[in-house]
Amino acid sequence: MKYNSPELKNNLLINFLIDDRYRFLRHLVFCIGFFGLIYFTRFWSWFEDPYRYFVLLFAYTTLIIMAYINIYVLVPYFFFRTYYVSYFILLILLGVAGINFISYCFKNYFNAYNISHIHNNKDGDFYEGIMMCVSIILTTTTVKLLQKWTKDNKRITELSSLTLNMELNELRNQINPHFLFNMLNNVKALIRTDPEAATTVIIKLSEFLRYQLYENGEEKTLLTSEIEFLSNFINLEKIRRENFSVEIHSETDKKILNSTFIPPNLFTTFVENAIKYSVNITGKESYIKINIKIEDKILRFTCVNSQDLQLSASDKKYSGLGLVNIKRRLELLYGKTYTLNMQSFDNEYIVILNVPV
Amino acid sequence: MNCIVVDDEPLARAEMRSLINEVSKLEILSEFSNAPAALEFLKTNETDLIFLDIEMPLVTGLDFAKMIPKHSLVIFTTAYSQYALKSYELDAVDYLLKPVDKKRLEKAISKAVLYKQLLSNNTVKNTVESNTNDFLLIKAERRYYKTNFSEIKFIEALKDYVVIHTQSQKLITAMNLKTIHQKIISPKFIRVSKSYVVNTDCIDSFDTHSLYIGDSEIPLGEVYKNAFFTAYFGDSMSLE
Repeated sequence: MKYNSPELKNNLLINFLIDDRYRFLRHLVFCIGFFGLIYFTRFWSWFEDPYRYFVLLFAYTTLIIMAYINIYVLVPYFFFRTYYVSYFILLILLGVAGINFISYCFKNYFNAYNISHIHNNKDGDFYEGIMMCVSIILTTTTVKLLQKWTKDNKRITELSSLTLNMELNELRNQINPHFLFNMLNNVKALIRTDPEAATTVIIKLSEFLRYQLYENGEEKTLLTSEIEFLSNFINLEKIRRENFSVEIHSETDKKILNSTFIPPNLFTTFVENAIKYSVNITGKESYIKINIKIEDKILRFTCVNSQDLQLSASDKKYSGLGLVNIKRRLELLYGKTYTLNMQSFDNEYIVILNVPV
Repeated sequence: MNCIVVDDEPLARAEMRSLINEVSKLEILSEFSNAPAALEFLKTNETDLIFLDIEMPLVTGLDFAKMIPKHSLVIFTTAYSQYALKSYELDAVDYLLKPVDKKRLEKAISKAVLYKQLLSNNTVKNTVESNTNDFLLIKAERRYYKTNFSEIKFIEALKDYVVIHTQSQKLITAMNLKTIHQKIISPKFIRVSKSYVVNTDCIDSFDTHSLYIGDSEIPLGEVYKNAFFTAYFGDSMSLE
């Protein structure tokens, strides 16, 4: 326990300086502390008794205003945006302007109440002002820097853990064990009733797995094999469901499809969502239609699925994560050159994705 | 004894039907692709046993299991991994992993049949009347039956009852697991999951997620796991 206490104190101090909870208290401490500092300077004792408090209050207010200009204007808009030279010039200007303003007011409005006649000590007066300004700037800027530094640190940690989580999810998504075991169970059922169909399913499942295991890790894959994969995916899904029709086609020439490379699994998330949300709880007809074509070096992927509003409404809270990830990936891959359009109608959901190839 | 099958996949239902018909004489009343339809059926039809898939759209099997009538027993059927499944702490007769093994299904059904018998006998009116330091007195039809602690292998929660598994028989009594655990004043009895209290003297073997007593496999609940290992070994050994 003994060893912990300095660290604990340290944390308390840092928390006090950066935590939003202590914001009000922090500003209060700063204002009072600064008042204390100015209270023990000499200049205001040169003035007549009741007026010296006005002088003190006037100088205090001006300096506080300067400090807050530094905190809320100069530091965030210049220093943090790396305009260091502008920052220092403006800071000096602010200091000079503030001190001149104070001394101007002293001379013109408060001079009548000045009782000290050794006012030729002008240098001392000036230096006191400078020292005051420097100390305010140093403390406030340091605190601001500390706050930004801790916030940035936190953001960086969050970002890296987010990336890690995404990678982990991706790994997990490569082969969904739930899907796999259900497929095996279906094959087992088919062997009994329709051995021919069971054979087809095993072939499709093998191709599906082969793609997930080997192509998924590659940077680029042939558009044909991606289409083949999606076709296997939705056709396997068709076996699992009743009253479900799937359709995938491309009007584009086979030659072009066979010579176009795209990053793997670009459309998988959309198809997964289409599968998920096309489920009709009352067993009515549901469908997925996928179209992929290339025109003018633009690949257009269209996915239309029927939707059961009852289901999508109850499931809202779970959706979104996959989409967030794929959007991020599209941004990283294509910057601003892709367009993604997703629209929900009464009974239908349409996704249109355009990417350059 | 009758049953229904609830699974969102048509082929899985077909497979379950043929397996059930192969290994048992259960009467399959109907099958359902979703939980709400099955629930509607249960309102008007006395059903003894439900084969229930977990991963279904809208209402999962786990949520559905909480809504079914008290007298209906549940056997979960799911493609989820064994390990993930155990952590759910299911209140069910058994759970089966897809693809389902015939022998495993047979075992689950015979367990359900036995529990159905226990529940339908008058013995459910049994009460545990009194207790001392080394035996329970179970009152059944105005007579007290003495059961030594040392004879009890484990106690299993089943719906609103507990099944006391002794060396020679299974006794059922209307009581919750917590209450009977409190009545057994012996440090040898440890709660290992939501549905089980075991006599540590009877444990034959164990791994990180199950205990084995005779031919019964008892899941170790996540919440109770650490407390169990600490109580079983003392602080000296930690298992990972």
